[in-house]
Amino acid sequence: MWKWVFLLVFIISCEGNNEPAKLVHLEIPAHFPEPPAFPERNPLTEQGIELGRMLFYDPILSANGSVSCATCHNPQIAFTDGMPRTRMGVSQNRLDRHSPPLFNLAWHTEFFWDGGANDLESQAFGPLQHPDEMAADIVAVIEKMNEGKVYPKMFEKAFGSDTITSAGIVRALAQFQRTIISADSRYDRYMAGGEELSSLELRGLELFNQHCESCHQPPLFTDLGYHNNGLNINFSSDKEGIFQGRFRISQDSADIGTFKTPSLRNLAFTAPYMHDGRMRSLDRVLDFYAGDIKWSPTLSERIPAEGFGFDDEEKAALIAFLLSLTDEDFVKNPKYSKPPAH
Amino acid sequence: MKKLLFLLSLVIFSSCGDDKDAKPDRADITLRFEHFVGNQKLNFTSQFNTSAGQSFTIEDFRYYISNLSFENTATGTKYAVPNSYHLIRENGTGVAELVLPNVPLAEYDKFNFSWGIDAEKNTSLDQTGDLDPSNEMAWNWNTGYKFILLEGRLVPSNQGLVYHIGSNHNYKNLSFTIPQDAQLDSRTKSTMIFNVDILKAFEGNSIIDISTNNSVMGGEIADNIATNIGQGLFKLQEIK
Repeated sequence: MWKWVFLLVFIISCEGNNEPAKLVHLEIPAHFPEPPAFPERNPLTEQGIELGRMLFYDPILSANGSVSCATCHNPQIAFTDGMPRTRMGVSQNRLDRHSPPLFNLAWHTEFFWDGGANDLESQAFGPLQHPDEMAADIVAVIEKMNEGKVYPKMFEKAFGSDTITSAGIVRALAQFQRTIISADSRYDRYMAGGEELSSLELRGLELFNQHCESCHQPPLFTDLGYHNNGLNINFSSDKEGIFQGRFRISQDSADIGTFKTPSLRNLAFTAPYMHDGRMRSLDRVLDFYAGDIKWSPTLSERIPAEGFGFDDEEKAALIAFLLSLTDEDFVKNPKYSKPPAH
Repeated sequence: MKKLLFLLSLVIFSSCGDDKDAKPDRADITLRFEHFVGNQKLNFTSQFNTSAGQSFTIEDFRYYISNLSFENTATGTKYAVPNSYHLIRENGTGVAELVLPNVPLAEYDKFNFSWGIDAEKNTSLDQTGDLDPSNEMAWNWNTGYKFILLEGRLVPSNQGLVYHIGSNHNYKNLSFTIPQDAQLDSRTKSTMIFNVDILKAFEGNSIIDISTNNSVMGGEIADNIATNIGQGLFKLQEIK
């Protein structure tokens, strides 16, 4: 009799015998601030990050099994897609905004061009469920994931249960994305000492500090805020306000036409530019800021309505400096690339 | 071996023991939501009319209630249903039920719930159960939940009716009186029947013309509908 009891105890303890996922401390670049606390409910773990990386590259998350996160967030070009407004989603309809590059997201607390998502966990449901992006029926996706052996096992390792949940999917994706860090450009090495910038780049840095730095604050090169940078005169309320920027989230008229400041890191990889990808080159961007600003009541006070008036020498210097923010190793980092098949 | 038998018998005895006395101290309480459009029971095939005579059909109707509690306001006794977030979903029959297991019985005079999701839970989507976004009640570009989803068509134009409403400031605390002669018990008084009249969402403090406001997903009209919902959508009809 006691034997049976012991056996029972043994079986029970066996079932709960999986090692807990191993906590990971994110390595912060020396010249970066501490990131804000991650959601307590989703600590970084080795197994969670691995699962998230797997999911990020797996088109199983889309309705027709053809679109993964990486379809529009390609690691070789700093996790963007090189298109103004992509048609790579399930429906092949053109989106209304440009796929943002993904790096240093651990320092962000709001996501999307209008900051409508409160954390990376919640953000993921946007592209997952949007009919023109991955168009996923989450219940069907989870069913499909349960057909193979890989995901239940990976969920068990990451979250202690082989039951696949939508919460687990987005938490793993968030964990992986928090590890994507770019902080090793020539500029970073120059700031740390040991790398020289050319006189043209240094001249660009000087102009940058004078005109651009207030919104594109180093070391992230974004203030994580929302500004109307003078792209449009009118901001249509069509399509649930998608063209009105932050306003559709805050409903504050001061936010009409304001969009989140993008980082200036890795611009060499992330063309085209602006929230709708309307500018193909940095030359075009500099021409715009020099003298093509469109005034509207919410235009940022930091931007003169007549433009900054950059001359050709200044534009060339600014572009030279901006390109020193290119992190060549980042786009080749094997930690972020498509994982080998399990 | 003997010890084990003794333990087993203890378990058996103790589990039998309670039932002997007349009144069990816990009961499964059923909340029954009867959906109406005016006096007409809701279904997904009939035509309905507003008081102003606009005809329409309904194809989908769901809403969240949360933070349910039973209360005795005189003694301060209160039972708060744990982890209480419930998606009530019409399936075409006009009735949706929710069972609250093991409610401790006391002399309650109030039943409370809120329409919507409280601000604390309404700030993230990686949640399970009725809050799992696979229920298609999450806003996918502005983190949070739709508190109500009502879809249908105008007749005869066939134009879509789309009401997706839910922002933190729309959250409403509602309270219903439990009459003295309708004290909950496990047998004859275990079902609380709510009358839910969809017209009350459009015809309350504010009158909303559904033909001109056929698609509402935020803004002033949404707030007006939310106020109407708070004031009159739910009525505790009967306890039986």
